[in-house]
Amino acid sequence: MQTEQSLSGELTIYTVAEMQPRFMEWVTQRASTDSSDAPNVLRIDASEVSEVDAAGIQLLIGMSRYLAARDEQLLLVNASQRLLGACEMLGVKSFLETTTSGDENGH
Amino acid sequence: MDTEPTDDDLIEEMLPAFIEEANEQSDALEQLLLELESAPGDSSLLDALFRCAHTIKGSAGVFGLDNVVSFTHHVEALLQRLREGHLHLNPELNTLLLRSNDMIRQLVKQASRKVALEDDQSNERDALVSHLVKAAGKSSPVVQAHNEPVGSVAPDAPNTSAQHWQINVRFGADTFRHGIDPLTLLDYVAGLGKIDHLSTSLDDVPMLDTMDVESCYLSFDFVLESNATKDMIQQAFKFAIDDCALKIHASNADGSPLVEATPEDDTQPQPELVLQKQRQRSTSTGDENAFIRVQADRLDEVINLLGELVIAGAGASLVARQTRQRTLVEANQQVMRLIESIRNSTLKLRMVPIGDTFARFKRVVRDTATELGKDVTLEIVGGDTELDKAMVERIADPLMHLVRNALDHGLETPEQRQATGKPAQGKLTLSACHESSNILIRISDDGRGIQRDKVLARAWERGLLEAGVTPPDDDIHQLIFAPGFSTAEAVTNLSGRGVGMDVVRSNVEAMRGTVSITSEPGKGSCMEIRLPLTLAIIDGFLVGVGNSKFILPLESVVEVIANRSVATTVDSHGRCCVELRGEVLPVVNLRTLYALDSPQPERSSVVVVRSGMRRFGVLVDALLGQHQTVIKPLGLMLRSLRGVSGSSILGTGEVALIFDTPSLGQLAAQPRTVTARKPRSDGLASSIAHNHL
Repeated sequence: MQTEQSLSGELTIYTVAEMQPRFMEWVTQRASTDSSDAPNVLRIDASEVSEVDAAGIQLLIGMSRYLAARDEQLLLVNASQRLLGACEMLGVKSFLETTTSGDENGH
Repeated sequence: MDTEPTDDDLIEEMLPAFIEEANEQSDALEQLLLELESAPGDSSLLDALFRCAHTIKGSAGVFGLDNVVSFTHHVEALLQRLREGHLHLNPELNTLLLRSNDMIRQLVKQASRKVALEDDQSNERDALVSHLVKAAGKSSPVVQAHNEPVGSVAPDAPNTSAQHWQINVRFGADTFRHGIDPLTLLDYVAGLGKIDHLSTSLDDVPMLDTMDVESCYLSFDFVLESNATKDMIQQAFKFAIDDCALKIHASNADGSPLVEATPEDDTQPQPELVLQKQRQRSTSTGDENAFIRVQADRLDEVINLLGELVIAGAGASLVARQTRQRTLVEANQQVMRLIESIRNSTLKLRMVPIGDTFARFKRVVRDTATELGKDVTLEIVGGDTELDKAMVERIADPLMHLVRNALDHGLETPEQRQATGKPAQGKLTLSACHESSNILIRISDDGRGIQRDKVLARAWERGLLEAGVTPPDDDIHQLIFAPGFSTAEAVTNLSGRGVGMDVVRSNVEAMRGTVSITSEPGKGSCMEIRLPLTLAIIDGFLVGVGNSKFILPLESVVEVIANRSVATTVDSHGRCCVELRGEVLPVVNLRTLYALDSPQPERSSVVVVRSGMRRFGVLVDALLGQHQTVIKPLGLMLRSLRGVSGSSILGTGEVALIFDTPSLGQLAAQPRTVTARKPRSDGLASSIAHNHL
């Protein structure tokens, strides 16, 4: 299954301000293009996320809630260790792909 | 974790308040411990005791004073055992707790100066900790002694099994902007134990399109399984303290609250709030009154200005009288009345009851008596007598010396007492009362009294008296105030350290006070310290002799015999006698005493003054009435002048000398052999002239 977008680098309080419009672009693009293969799921490759903090996770929660309000779902695939750890610590698991096996993302 | 500089600044700023509070709590702790000695097992006292220790620990935690926290923790643990009734207070435990309390004081002091403990102090601390742990664990099978390395934040000693804490933390919107990352914070908390059942409230986070990405919307609920104390958990949130609402409950493993929750369930750990809360708590345990803390120098400034106002006001009234405009004079009188009431209430601000100072001696008496193998009770009388704060501080040291002296020299051991037919327990009484414008502090004991022979022998040996000369008993008593006098056979660490009674006397005299001693062999002795109530302003009675003006403290003036012709013989020191209602009243003639160059008028007045038990008259030319007197210190030249304690500036700009009634009384009384004052020739001349009147 293809990921539509990929997230990399830093997702922290220092970058959330510039990430927000990008994320908005991603979700609005989807709405207009109406992808057919997985209409309900926005899959984002998160393997290259190097740094993350609570503000970053909060932004992801915001995106997830925005999508949920439109009966869509956010799914982070192949999340980096750093991101996994942060999500676990903050008790946020809903947008993490439960099995992150290698063959699921052919990028 | 990013620490915000303002947090540190805030803590720095609050630290003095904490130190002061911790000291208050320590004082309360000591008082409670001493009270418990006479009422062991009183549960309300034990509860209060526990709260004091808990408060110290809690606020020390807020300020990150780990040394204080970890040590106080052990004290608290022992108190908890006592409170639960697993242990019973005995003198041994009491001593241990008192010593521990001293250690807490030391640690707080050290924390305030940010210096490390010295080796012997840390050894003492470690010894105390092991004693405390042993005492707390002795009769409790549940408790295992943890010998934690002191100095780090030690886990709860009495709880070996980890406890569950239900924690709810809601971060404020500005959390991120203040450089705080909840992720790091949680990571840190996770280091204290095991985080379980964590849930994040996702619904509070707005949608992506509407969210302010730099505001924090997060809140968490979780169970922490840890043997950390509540305070330590709070400490973890220290840096975010302004940015989060924190609730910590003791709970079961699944997060359901325990029936018996910890005392304060809802904590908003902002330093101000914490301190406020603790202050409220301390008011319920220790002081019953609420206080506003004012810096002493601000108060002094007000009093100084008030002094100037009094002088300026007196000047204004004088000018008003000269204009002979009735309305102006009346308006001025009104102003003067108001100034007087302000003066009285302002001076009252400085007044504190001496009882707090006295109460400190309970401990001294207890420890010292034990050390000397004596059994002594301390009785405190008139503890609510008020005295200027500055004086209270300065009197503490001389009092300490006198109390120790009484314990060391005055009171006997139980065996000696019983041998002389006295009750085995000795009695030491500290009392205070007002006496005209003075406060009288009395330290009396029912011991052996001053040993006249020993004092004499020592005085002869030290060359204070010519060998073989035996002066009257009163003079022998005065000898103990002589510099370098000490009769202690062995120099104990209590008294006989060379700083003797002469230091006591000079300290008291520096406060315009006097110290006297009475003693009865075998029955005990009594030290009396008389001090003026305040150092600043007094109500005076203005009198004139020739062109000179003098002020007598109004409260010591008993009556006035106006306009009588003087027909008694005055001796060379300006002393004479008059008859007052069939009694002989010694009178001091100021003109002769101070050798004033002005002719004696035909008629003079006698002001009858009381000093202690004594009454005497002061012969003056004119009675000028009541005067608000701002006391100014005497210059170097006049400091040796006898009978005078200060000076004051009158409204006219003239200077008036203020009499010190006790020493003036001494001048009026019988001639003293040792310190006879040589009259000057002109004084002699005027007294001779006077004889013919």
